[in-house]
Amino acid sequence: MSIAHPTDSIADIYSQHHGWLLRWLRGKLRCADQAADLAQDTFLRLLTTPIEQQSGLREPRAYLTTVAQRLVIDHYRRQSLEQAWADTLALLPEPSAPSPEERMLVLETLHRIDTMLDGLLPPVRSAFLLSQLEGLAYADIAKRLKISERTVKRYMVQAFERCILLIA
Amino acid sequence: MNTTADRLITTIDPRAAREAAQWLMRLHSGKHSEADQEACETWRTSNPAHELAWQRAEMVSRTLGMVPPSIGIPVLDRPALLERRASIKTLAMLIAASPVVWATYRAAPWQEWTAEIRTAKGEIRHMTLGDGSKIALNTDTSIDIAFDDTLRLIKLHSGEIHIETAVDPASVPRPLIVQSENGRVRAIGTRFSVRQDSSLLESRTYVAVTQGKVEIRALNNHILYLLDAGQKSDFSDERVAPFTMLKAGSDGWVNGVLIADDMPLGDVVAQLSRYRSGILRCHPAIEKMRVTGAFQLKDTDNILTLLQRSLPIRIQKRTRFWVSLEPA
Repeated sequence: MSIAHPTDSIADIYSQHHGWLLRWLRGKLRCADQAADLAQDTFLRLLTTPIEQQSGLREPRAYLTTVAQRLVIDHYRRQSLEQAWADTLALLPEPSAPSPEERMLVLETLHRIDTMLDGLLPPVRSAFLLSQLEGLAYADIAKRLKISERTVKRYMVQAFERCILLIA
Repeated sequence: MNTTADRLITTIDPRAAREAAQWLMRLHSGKHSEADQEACETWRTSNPAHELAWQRAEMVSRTLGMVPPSIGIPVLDRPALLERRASIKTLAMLIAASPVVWATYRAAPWQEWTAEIRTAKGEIRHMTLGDGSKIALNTDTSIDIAFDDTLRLIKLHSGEIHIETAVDPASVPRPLIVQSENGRVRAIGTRFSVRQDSSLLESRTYVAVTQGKVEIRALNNHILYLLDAGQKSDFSDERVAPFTMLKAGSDGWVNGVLIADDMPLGDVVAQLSRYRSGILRCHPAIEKMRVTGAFQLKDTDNILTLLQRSLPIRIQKRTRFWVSLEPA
């Protein structure tokens, strides 16, 4: 691993490591275009990181892979979200199909919620969505998920807390 | 607005976030009481950190409210989370229920903010909306706010609101509309109030304009009625009643005051009962007595005492929740 000097400019880091990062991402994604996009995004993150947090730049490749890894996970999550979204939309009758703008907005909202809920355990997430989207009572959720109502309440607090902390 | 949001992210107090989450859990249980609501309000106003956490909590509710359930569940709770079979079942139900899905989709447009805002009995709440409009919620009121790119929509489910419209900051100004059970009221640079009154027998919407104009459109009536400042009217799903003059002080509640100008006692009692839990009755023999005065709505017991002092009436308290006014 090459060690960059802290005063190396972003441009230097880019020219020294971009090709390497691109290869690394291609290995993960198996799609050259997406790999190029994510490589670009990774460097963009670097540009928007405050100077004082750039200590990671002493080890640029370690830093770049950490950021890129996160972007890859986001990418897959987003892809599976869009797939589920397309599947669901396909089942809606034609006349109700929302306009492209409406689609974008709902999809963006779904993505925001999906990101907030990421990291919650599956039953916590399910309980939360059943309550918030389907409007089920805690007792009914308890029955459906085969857990106690107290557990449902605890899950609700966990999920709400996470959302409150992460919502942007 | 954005800059405030950015700052919130950095200053959110983890303990306040945890407590706000606990309140949300309780208020979403469907079993909360008015006392819970009040306690939450007290918690919220007792500390600026609480207020900040609560604003984010409301943002969470609004964001979730923007997602139509029929789409949100299959998309957000996808694979591995619900059992595969369960999700196939949901999708099968979606197909079977197509016409209904379509109907709900039309009735509940995308981008909706379904976060319910409500007041308890006796509570009067003031808010400033995202566009700068000021809204006051009278006692026992429930609304949804649904602003999108084309419309500033306020859904009035029950109770009464007073609105002071602001010039829309959006590049293409969006109309501001209050939707009640019986139809729609569109503001035209205005101060006005709308009240939804629903009983088992009938449902009516009352509109009063103090400044500017509003346009009324009843649900099943294609004629648009233009109500001017100083006028009031009411409408059912079909008909808009003839306009009448608005009495001065009819929107006194916005400032927490009931203004009676030669008002029949029966009407005063009807007004007061909106702010109280339990039953408040007026004996028919004294209904027509005239009352003039300005009363602080935050203490209806005190108003009753004042009335008893100035009129030949007697207050009979059967229980705290059953009070009746009788001839002296």
